Amino acid sequence: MTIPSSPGPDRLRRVVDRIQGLPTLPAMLSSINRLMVNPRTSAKEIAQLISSDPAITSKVLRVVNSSFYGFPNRISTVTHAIVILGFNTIRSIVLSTSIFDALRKSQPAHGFDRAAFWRHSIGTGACSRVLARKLGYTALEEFFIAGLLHDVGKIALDSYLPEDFAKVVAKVKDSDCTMLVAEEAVLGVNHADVGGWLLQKWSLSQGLVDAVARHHSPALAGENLKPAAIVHVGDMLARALQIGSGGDRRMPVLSEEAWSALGIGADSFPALLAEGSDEAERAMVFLEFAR
Amino acid sequence: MDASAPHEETKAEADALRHAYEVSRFVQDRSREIRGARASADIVRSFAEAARQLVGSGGTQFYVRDAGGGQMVLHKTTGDTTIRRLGASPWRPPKETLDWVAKERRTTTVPGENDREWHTLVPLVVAGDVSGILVLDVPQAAGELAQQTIEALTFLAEEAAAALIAAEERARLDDEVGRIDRERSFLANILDSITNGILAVDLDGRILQINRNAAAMLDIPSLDVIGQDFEPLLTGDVRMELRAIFDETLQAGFAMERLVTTHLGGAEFPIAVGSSLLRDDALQAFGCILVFRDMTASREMDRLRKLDQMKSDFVANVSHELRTPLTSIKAYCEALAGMPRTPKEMEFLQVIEEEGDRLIELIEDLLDVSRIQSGTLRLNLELGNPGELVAEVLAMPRLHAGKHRITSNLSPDVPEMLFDWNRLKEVVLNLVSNAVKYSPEGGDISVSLSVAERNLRIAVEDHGIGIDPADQASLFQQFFRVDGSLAAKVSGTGLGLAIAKGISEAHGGTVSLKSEPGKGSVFTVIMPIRKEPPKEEVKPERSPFG
Repeated sequence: MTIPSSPGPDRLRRVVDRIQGLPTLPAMLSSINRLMVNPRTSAKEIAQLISSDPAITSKVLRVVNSSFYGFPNRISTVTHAIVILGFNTIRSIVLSTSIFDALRKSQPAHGFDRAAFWRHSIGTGACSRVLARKLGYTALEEFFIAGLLHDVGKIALDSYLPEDFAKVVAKVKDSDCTMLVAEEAVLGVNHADVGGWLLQKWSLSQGLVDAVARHHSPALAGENLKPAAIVHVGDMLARALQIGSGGDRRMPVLSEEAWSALGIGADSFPALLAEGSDEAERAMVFLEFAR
Repeated sequence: MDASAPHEETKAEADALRHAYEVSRFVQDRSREIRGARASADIVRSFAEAARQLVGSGGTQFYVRDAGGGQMVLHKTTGDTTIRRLGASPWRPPKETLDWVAKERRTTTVPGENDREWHTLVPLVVAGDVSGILVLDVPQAAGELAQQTIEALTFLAEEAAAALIAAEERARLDDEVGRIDRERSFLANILDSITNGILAVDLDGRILQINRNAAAMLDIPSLDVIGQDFEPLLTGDVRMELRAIFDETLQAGFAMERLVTTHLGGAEFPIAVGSSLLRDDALQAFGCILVFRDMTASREMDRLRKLDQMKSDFVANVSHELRTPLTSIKAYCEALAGMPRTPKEMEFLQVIEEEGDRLIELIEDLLDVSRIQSGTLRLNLELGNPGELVAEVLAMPRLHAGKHRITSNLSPDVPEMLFDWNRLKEVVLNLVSNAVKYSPEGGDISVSLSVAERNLRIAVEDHGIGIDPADQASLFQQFFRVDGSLAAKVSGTGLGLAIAKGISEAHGGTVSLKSEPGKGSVFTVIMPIRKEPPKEEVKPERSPFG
């Protein structure tokens, strides 16, 4: 039952075709991916690759020693970081710092508060991570990244279609609607669609693409219903905690499918909020990379 | 890049594939072993050993959550297999590291004392919670641990966790089954220990429950008949009778208890069959319960009771028949004594008269006993002074034939009261003449009369041969006589004390005894002081000799 939501592929293409000069992710990411395909790859090999970029190396060490991971001792080398935190975690850290890097270069338009935006994104990532842990997932970083990038389409629109996005921001301010509604009205597409398209262009995993593209409509995420539902609820939790702002003040529609898919009752809400709040605070280490 | 490079690369890839295959084979074999283990300790042990081999570790440590669910502590049995270097204590993961792994729930490798020494910690996640952490030494540089090895460790840990959950569930089920078994055998033991036979059948006559006695009474060879129709298991009359009782019970809700005779090994065997409906919690009838009572014993009781009755009737009749001719004999003796006789003739007549008196006494005693026994002893209650009664007894010349000194101590507090003069006199006389008879050396005999707690107390004390404690209990039984050389010389019917007891009890009292062989005895009669006749006729307690 794949009934695509509002934007047909044509409308999306008409919009994204106008996005020119999109940044690319560093080649290192695809090298890491290639190495990780081989099961015999050791931590040392990946560490060598990462260490070839001093900027990324220092960011990785900064993050792994933050309270976000909370390892009791100091981690002094990338090799140690990989054996302690695992291959996937390090890849996710490299990926998120690279994405921050790539998007930082674009110029912001007036009226859209990027600092608040990143705070909201990091908060959503943290809440998604909390949810995933509660549901028994082990690859928590995937969910953090999905949450972190859920609104990445807004940055793409802000950076590459600034006039249109300025209209969206103005419309939200004037009629106190959600960004989603304003985007649909102005552009005919929304930030979720654009974000999904962007991640696909960056060759990120289908799970990540679906989680971002469907975070307002998890029921349409197909086999990636759960990741999408987690990001959807993570977004709601971050909004409830008032961590940063995605650009609007109104709550978007809450998806019932998401709740039932995750099997979370309302009684666990207070605990999730408390944990999400703590986790978000620790995750704010990533904010440095957005500056 | 030289020409051999692509070839080298292909070779390396082939090696990698082969290695990957070997690792996955190893993991598969070991995970089968882990899942095959039944006890939790065995699961942990196979998991630890597989992990150790996978990494090439020297040994393992296994940590579990302590009983309070708090800290991770070294497990006692599967705990520590690390090889200790001489003089060096083994590395133990710090509490913070264990906590961190428990929180992250992910296989990790951490530095030990220095950066040359590394340890891999593998958490066992059971039902969303880390229940244990396996610690392995990493022999090579930690950075060289392949991704696949870590994934394999994680996979084995998942298998072990699943096996632990299954083992726990199995243990729980075993417990439950054991509990139900114990409960069932408890109830079965209760049923089997009931001396009655119990048979429960459903509305269609299929056996729901049967106890051992029911099976024995109905001659059903096995208890393994649950679910079978009860009728085909029975034969003859029993079958028809039980069918009738069953039908009646279902129709009327109950059936009168009735006697059914079964034949076991040729012998007749009377059983009483009662029945009632079996109802569930909603009071809906779902079957019928039949209770069988073995009547053999009650029949035997019946027979003995009849025999006893016959004996009593016989004694009463014979005594009566004997008394009539004796009365004539005595009358003729008196008549003869009135005529002029030679001294010799007078002497003979006196012997005849004395022996006749003894016979009458014996017959009176027998009649008393049989009256007491049959409950037909009638008391002629009149107001009188027990003190006068005792004085009258002590004045009887026959008590003073020997060298005894008989004294009395009569309390002035003793009031007039209701009693049967002749019967009570009989009691006191019996006790005093016993005291005389069993004090062959003479000596003091004292009779005291007093009031104790609104009861009359008559005590007769002698300093004679006394009574062996072994004989004291049976002393008041009829025809009981103490063995021994003296007893053989002393005449008596063995009825005196039995009668004394019967008469005392007819007055609502008791006779008790305190005695020491060689020192003497005290017989004490206690009876309530009554001034008014009781509303109902005084009846002796039912057959104290039965």
